[in-house]
Formats: sequence, structure tokens, C-alpha cells
Amino acid sequence: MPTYLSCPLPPQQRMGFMDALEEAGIAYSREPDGYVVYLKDGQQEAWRDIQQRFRARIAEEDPPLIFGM
Amino acid sequence: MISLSGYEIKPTNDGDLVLLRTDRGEIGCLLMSATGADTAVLWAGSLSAEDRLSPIARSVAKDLREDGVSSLAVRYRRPFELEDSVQDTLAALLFFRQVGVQRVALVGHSFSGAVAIAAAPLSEAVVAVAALASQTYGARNVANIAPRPLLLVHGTADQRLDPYCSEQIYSWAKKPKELVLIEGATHGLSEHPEFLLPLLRRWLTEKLRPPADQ
Repeated sequence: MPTYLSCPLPPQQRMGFMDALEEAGIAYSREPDGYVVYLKDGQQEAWRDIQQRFRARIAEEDPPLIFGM
Repeated sequence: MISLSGYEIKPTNDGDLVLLRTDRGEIGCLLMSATGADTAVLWAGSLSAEDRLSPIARSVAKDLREDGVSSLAVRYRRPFELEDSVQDTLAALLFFRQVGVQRVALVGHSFSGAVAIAAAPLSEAVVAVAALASQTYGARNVANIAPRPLLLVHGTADQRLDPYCSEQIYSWAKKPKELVLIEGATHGLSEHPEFLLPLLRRWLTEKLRPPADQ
């Protein structure tokens, strides 16, 4: 399943964004360049919702460098 | 684990200087007591070698005293040695137990944010942790703080430790947890005292309050 590098959000939205990922059961890690989001089967729709809600911009799909997992 | 064999208290104008005698040496602290308080804030590493209190600890401790909460600022035996500093913090928690303090909130800034995070799971007296502009090194066990609440505060203009450090700690932590990013604040978090100091006072007094059924 895909992995995304999502750009950092405005500071006041960052906690809510991470909370939304956790509530949806989506694994992620916060790295210097942004949030690496690791999707499992069936999480695409929840991720799309979160992405739209927070206007999260994807910097890269399947980034070559994955830290912290 | 460090053990506390005794302590000595010397009154000064700023509070009581407390010398903790442990099996690893002596640890200097500054105690700002609130009369009859059984709750306290432990300010890890907030006392300098010259017995000066950090500005944030000084200000919030003064306010907390009015709220009936004592404060103890700890001076590490070996600053920037993580494991020793965790042990010094644990010694201060043993002191609190000896003087009847039941509920303790741990606060640490920068390096000491990680010290507070690392020490908290090792003591049942700790009921809350606040880490200010914390480093990530030493903070990997942050999930073990839960179910006790965690507050992470970081300045968005911090150039010594990027705010992503606190975000990363937040991502490792379990609920209840809170992340506050202060726009334009640097590593010392001195830019917006009108925001930070009341936030800490409110959060600490709330978390130190015993649950309604006790």
C-alpha cells in the first residue's frame, strides 16, 4: 500500500492532523520534512477525508527515505 | 535506582535551599513551599550552578504558590548527562515522598524535557508531565507516561531544537496528550509570557487536582 510524505501544516493544525490520523488508525511518523503516512488496505478513503479536511499537501508518494518505523 | 539517605534545609530569601544526600552524591534544590501543600511541581534542571532559578520556573512557581502548590527546582549533579539527571529527578521525587507530597507534576525544558519524560514512568507520584522545547533524545519512552497527561510546548522559531521534535514526541506519546506550538517563540520560550505562563499555571493546577472520588 502507498506511503505519502505530507508537508508540514500550519502550526495550529498539526496536533489535530496527528490526532485525526491516530483516530483513523493510520500509521504515521513525524520527520523533519513532514509526516510520512503509511496506509494499509481500506484506509484510502479515511486518508482522503483527512487530507481534504486539513488541506494536506503531498510532497512525495512512496518517498525513498522512510525514518522512524 | 538512586536512594535518598537524608536531606538538609537552609532558608533563603528565594525559598529553602535543600541539599539531598544520596548514594550518588549531593543534589542541590530550591524549594518554594506552599503552606500545607500535598501537591507540587518538580522543575527538573531549573536551578543553575549559581542557585538561580530559570525565569519560567520562577514566575510560574510564584503563581502556583498562591494556588497552594509547592515547587522544587533541581540542580543536576552532572548537567547534560541524561541518566544521571533522571536519577537526580528521582531523588527529588523521593524527597517529596518523605515530606508528604502526594501528587507531583514534572516539568522540564530542552534537555530536561527528555529528563522529565524519562523519569515520569519510574515514579507513581508523578501525575502529569510538561516538556517545554524538548529534545527527542531520551524521550522515546514517552508512551509509558500514559494514562497520565502530557503537555508539549514548543516555539515555532526555535532554532536550537526544531518544533518538529515536540511533534515527533507527540506522535510517540499516547493520550491524554496536548501539543502547543507558540508562533514566533524561540528556544527559551520567552517571547510570549502572557500566553505561556498562564497556560502552565492553569494546566499544572488542573492536573494536580486530585480526582473527585479521592
